[in-house]
Amino acid sequence: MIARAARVAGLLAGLATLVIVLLISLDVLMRYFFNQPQLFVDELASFLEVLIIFGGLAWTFTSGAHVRIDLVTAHLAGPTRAWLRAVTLLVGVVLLGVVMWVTGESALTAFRYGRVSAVMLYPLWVPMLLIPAGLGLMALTMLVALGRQVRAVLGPPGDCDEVTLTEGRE
Amino acid sequence: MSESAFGTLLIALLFVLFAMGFEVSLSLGLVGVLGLLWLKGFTVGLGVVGSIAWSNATSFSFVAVPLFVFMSGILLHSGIGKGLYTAVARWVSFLPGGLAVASIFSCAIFAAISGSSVATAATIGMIAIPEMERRSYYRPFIFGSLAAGGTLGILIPPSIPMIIYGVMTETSIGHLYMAGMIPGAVLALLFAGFVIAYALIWPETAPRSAADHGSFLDKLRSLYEVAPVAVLIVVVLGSMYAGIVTPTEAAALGSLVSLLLAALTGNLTWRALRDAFHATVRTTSMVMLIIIFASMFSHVFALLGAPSALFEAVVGLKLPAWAFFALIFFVLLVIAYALEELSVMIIILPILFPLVTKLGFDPIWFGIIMVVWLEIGLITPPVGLNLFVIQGLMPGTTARDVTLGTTPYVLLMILLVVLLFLVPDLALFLPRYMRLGH
Repeated sequence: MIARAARVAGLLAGLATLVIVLLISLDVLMRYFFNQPQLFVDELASFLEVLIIFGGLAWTFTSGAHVRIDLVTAHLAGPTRAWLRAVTLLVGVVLLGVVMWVTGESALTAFRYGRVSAVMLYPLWVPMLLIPAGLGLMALTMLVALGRQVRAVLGPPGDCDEVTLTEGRE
Repeated sequence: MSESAFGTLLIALLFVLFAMGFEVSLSLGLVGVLGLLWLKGFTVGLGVVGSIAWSNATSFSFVAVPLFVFMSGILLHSGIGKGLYTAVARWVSFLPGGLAVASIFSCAIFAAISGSSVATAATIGMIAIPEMERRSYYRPFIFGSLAAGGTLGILIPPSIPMIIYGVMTETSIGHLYMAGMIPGAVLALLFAGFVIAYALIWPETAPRSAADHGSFLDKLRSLYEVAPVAVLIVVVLGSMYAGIVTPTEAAALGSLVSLLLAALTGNLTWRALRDAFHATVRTTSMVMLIIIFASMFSHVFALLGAPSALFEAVVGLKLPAWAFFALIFFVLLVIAYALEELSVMIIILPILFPLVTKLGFDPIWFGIIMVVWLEIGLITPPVGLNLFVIQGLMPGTTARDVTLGTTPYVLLMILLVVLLFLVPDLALFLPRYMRLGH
């Protein structure tokens, strides 16, 4: 379920790229050929960039694409590696929780004070809310990974190792 | 606890987290958040977190990053790589090691529309590797020419690492692009020269065939095959240097034209689009999360006064400029063999950049040095990204093939760094010329 949500959010983020391509191209062509720059494009593209980054966090995690250094862990025994991963996943969930809460507060403040963007006066809380939402989804996928990791750690000791959370097809 | 002791403790913690296999981005985030909490307290300290995340995530220049990855994803299966390689091979295959020379020049030309080395190696490798394998070229020879040729993708503009460097150090991305052109061409020629020399000394590594001598008509026809690439170069680089668009806008136009080209050739399937989305999202999320958390980390170190303390310490060594530079580059080389360099660049740039510029090195020149260093990292085992790409295309490659194949190119890149140090104008001539022109 969570993996599915991660994929849907990731695809939305991908579509945002396509929308940026079309918007900016429109802006350039209108500006060059008709001398009519589309002022809304720069701000909207920046907000869509927020969607790409944070909407894609969870999908990136389930694809195992967040860079990690395995210089040391590759030389450890399976069970040790499994324990370590459980610890780092737990720390990760807590950290993401804290950052999510802080950025959520910022979005709430922006909503309360009615903060708007500089040029087109778009309400800022909408794109700002994407940050805690994306972090939250990533935290959830990490929590699922943590659950599996703990089960592996407590399970039969023979084949205990780091659990990967990659999707079947990709 | 004194501030310097605290700073040392944070760095130690960062390394422990890295060693534990914690995500690089999250390690930086944890250390950054702890630092902010200690230095500024709960309300003020964590208030910074939101604004750092927001300002990095909404930077218009960074929008170019997903756009270039997306464009590469669309071009990967568009047939454009095949046309380019076939055409270049027609012109250069009379040379010793001709197909490998063609790989390198195809990579160099593709680099002018691609901002990523991995994409360049994958796009050209997909076509060139089967050709060379069919001709039973020596495996390390095939491997090296594509892994190394691919790295030209980030030195010859456009370039994703140059965008990141430019935004982080407030250096003009346009000037960085310009500065990469001559070093990129020099490096491509060095690579090609090496390939030719190698094939002359050991002809059995690159067997020749009668098909190497195409007719003049074939050569003319090949110009038609590179037309899509030529159009894209005009769109991506030409429009920018004509002063019509910004680097980000050039990336968007390039993506649009790539989509049209793929559609015209019937390669714009839902599957291709989804794969491109996946690659885009994966790279952007990963890199940008590192950038966001790394700027929290470097914010903490700026508060602790680390950059100026480091500067004092280095000036205290009283080294001549060349020795200082050699020292930095040596440390960087060691890192290149161990870690994923783009993240390392993002982490150390806020500390290294002020140091280097205060010592009198040019910001644009240093950007090119960083990019060549990234190129080295891309082909040094065990964690060079280009190595993984080419290994994926050449199943059964051994560690020996990889080391034998890539080491000469690493030496050539180090040679380029020495050349750049001796003749900084290799990088700086074009940007200066451009500035005077406007």
